[in-house]
Amino acid sequence: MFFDGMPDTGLVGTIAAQHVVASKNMSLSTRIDSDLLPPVVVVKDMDLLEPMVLYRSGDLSVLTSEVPIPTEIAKPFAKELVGWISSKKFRAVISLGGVADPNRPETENPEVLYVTNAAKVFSSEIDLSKLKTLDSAFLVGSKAAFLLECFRANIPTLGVFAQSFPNYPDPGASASALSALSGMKELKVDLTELVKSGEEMRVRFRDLMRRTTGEMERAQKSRELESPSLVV
Amino acid sequence: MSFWLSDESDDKFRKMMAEARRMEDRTLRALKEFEHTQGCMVPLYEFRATPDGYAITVDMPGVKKDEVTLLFEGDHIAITAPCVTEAGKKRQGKKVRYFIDLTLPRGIDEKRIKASMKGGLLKIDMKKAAGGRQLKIE
Repeated sequence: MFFDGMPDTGLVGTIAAQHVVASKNMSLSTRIDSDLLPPVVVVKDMDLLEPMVLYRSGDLSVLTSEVPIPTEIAKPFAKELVGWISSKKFRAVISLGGVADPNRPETENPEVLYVTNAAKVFSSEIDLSKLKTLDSAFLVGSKAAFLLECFRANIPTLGVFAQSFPNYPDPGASASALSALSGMKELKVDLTELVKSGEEMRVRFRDLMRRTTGEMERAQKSRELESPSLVV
Repeated sequence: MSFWLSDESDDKFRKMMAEARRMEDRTLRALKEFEHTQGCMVPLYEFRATPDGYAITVDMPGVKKDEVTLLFEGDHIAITAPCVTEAGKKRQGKKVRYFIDLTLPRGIDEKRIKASMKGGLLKIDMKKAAGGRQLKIE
């Protein structure tokens, strides 16, 4: 299974991805490099890492990123990535993100919504009836481009979106989304630490959040608060 | 069916994006330089209009309401609080604090500013000063 934690609204997927990697003690398996990505490297323990890497444990591969995907390369990057995912024959793709909710400060338990092209595949592991479907909405940005390419490639894909702070890192939303996915054995992790360390996470991720907010503005992310005019 | 922009318009789009990114980088660089020279962390914040005024939320993880200093002066509000999170100390040193000075819109009723704090999220509600007159529709 391929788990996408690309930076997006509230960094919901990114925080969840890093929590899964840490909880399962996953190992670095793949470094993602592309001429399309900005020239950034992460220095860690006398090694230079690409800002986007995959961690692996058993059948689960988790994508984490230290940089938001630049808007102008979102589509070609999604095509490249999904081409690679297809070639590796992952059984499914889970893409986790946030959906901006201006009333989030008053919301204790963020709602989780989903969109899928393979309800039958996922409903054997997750009780989808407990989640709301994303019936009529705009999705914008790198995650939208990625989901579209997954659907086009006919890969069983589940896009999961938790109500989130629009511009603050939201570990609470990440916990809600992961909790909704806990029926999948690959993604079953203890969420206690994620909830407990929420305030630390919000400090740790705030620089990435700032960069991601800039990228989301360039992608016209505010469209996600609008409704499509399509009536048929 | 696929549709592609011409090379020329594609090039213009890329240049526009590159300029936007340069401008953003200048702003972020100024912000990080401010943080490093002042030994503080500028918190993330959001500013929203409400039916009768404005609401600001400021993300200051780890802060309790008694630790926040709010100073309203003219068209500014300065917010200071200690940052006690480990991630904050690791980045900026042991005595790190949150600090932000926000410029406010004109016409705020100073006596009707309310602040509340929950889970490290500061919320400031401001009302517009009373005034104006109701218009009749003829």
